[in-house]
Amino acid sequence: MTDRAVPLGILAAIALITLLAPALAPHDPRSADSPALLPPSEGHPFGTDTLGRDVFSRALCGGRQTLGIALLGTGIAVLPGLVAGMLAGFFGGWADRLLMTVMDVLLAFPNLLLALTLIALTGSGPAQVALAVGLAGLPAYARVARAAVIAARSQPYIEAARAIGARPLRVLLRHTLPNAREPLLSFAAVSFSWAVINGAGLVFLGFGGDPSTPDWGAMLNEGRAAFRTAPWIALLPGALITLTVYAVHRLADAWGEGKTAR
Amino acid sequence: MHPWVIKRLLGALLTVWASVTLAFFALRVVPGDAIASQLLQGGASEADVAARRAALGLDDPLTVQYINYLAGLVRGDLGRSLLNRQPVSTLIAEQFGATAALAVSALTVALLVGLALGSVEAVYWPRLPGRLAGIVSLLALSTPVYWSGSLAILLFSAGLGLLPATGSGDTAHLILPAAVLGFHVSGSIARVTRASLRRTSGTDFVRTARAKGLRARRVFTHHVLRVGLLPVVAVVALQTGFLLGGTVITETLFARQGIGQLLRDAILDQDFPVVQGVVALSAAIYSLVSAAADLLYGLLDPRVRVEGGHQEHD
Repeated sequence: MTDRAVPLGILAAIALITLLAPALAPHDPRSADSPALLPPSEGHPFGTDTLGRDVFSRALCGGRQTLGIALLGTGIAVLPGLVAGMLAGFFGGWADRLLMTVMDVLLAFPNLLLALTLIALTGSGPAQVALAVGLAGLPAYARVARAAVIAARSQPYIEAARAIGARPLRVLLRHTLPNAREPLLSFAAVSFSWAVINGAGLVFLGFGGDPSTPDWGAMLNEGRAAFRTAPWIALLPGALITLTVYAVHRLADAWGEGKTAR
Repeated sequence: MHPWVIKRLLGALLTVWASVTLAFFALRVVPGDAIASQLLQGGASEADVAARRAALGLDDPLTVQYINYLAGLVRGDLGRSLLNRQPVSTLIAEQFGATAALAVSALTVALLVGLALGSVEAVYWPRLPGRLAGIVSLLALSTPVYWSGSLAILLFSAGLGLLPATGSGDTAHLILPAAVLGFHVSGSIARVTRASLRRTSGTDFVRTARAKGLRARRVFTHHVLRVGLLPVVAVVALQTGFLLGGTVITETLFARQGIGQLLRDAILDQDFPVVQGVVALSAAIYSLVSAAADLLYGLLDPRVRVEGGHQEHD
């Protein structure tokens, strides 16, 4: 239990800050009413960026888009991946082979490269980034879901449930799925951490659409452009991404206990 | 050759073909391309655009284009850029050296740091050095390259003035990007190393070695390491794929030349033949490396050959 308390606390704090950001931010994150590239001061604890916007306020509000993209992307990876992997693992046969062949072809594209190729198809924008990151994470999740269901399927009590005449769908949903809960949760957390890093990475690369929207990845890109004159721009958003991903990994570890490869 | 080897190589070839085909058709579904946006912006007439498209064979039926593309691919011809009409293979060849240098040196850093962190964690857990190594490897995994890179530039270039921050060319320009990308990848290698070494430490043959009265150090180097490092081979293959993606961000951050920059610009310009060429290249490299890792794995661990050479993805 204590293994989960620390990362859950960190994540809850980040979620709370992100939700309350509009009330907490001392300045409007979009308004460029201060001089550009002010170093950290009392009025601007993390200085101002190249356009004179308050870095602290932008970092507080930036989680909305960064984490929103990541959550949406995780949903796009996990839900269809879960259904596909579960059905393939549970029923086997030609559907399983077909599905896993498709997933293997998709897995031959490195995660971020697949997302980039999808961005080439859909164009830039936050929704497009979420879709690209989600679809890029789908094949890996389908594989893990399939493996988890296969491992759970061979348990004696599943055979017992079958023997007393339970229908396949009932066996799958009521007996197999709950038993596969931990690896499924653990890898969903890993998928989320990929979605945070890759989603912010795509926005960092300039595929996030409107650059005035506060976003941790976009802020890191601004920081890159001005690292010599204004090194403070990149500090806070990068630290927030790292903290989020670190906590999510700790949570995945607690759920998975070494059952997944990473 | 062992039939298993042939089967594995055929599988790799099939994967490359499938990825290339997928990329080919997917990229042609999209409306709009570099020709339209570039030429029309530059004040060219509709007729010019049509002429350029015809010259590049973009008016042919899709199946004809596909067959031409595959025929070219076999000869190493990846088509021409829509923007400057240069052969894609030339564009890739110009950039390949810089990216290969980055990827290989990053992988070397990742292996050295990752194996060290993973071993320390496995051996010293739950004492302080083990716990510290665990935290460092998780931090490596959690820190995105675009942030650790910014910090490294701040410290070593802007702060201490030791290394150049941006550009490419000599070895000095390679150090920061390779270290940053390698450190990130070392996180996964460390975690797999630790898990595998721990699992191996609990097996019967290690207990036998201890019972024979061998010293702990010798048991570790001669018994645990030899078997426990096998899964690391598979992870390194997977990480090669990650490196191909990671170079895009690393090259952008450090303003380095390379395939990653080529790909990013091609996507922004909708220059599809270039995107497709890079995709084909990475699918080929990735499939070959995974196949090589599987073969190596089979060579090192005969049990794999019997089971058909299947191993879990991460």
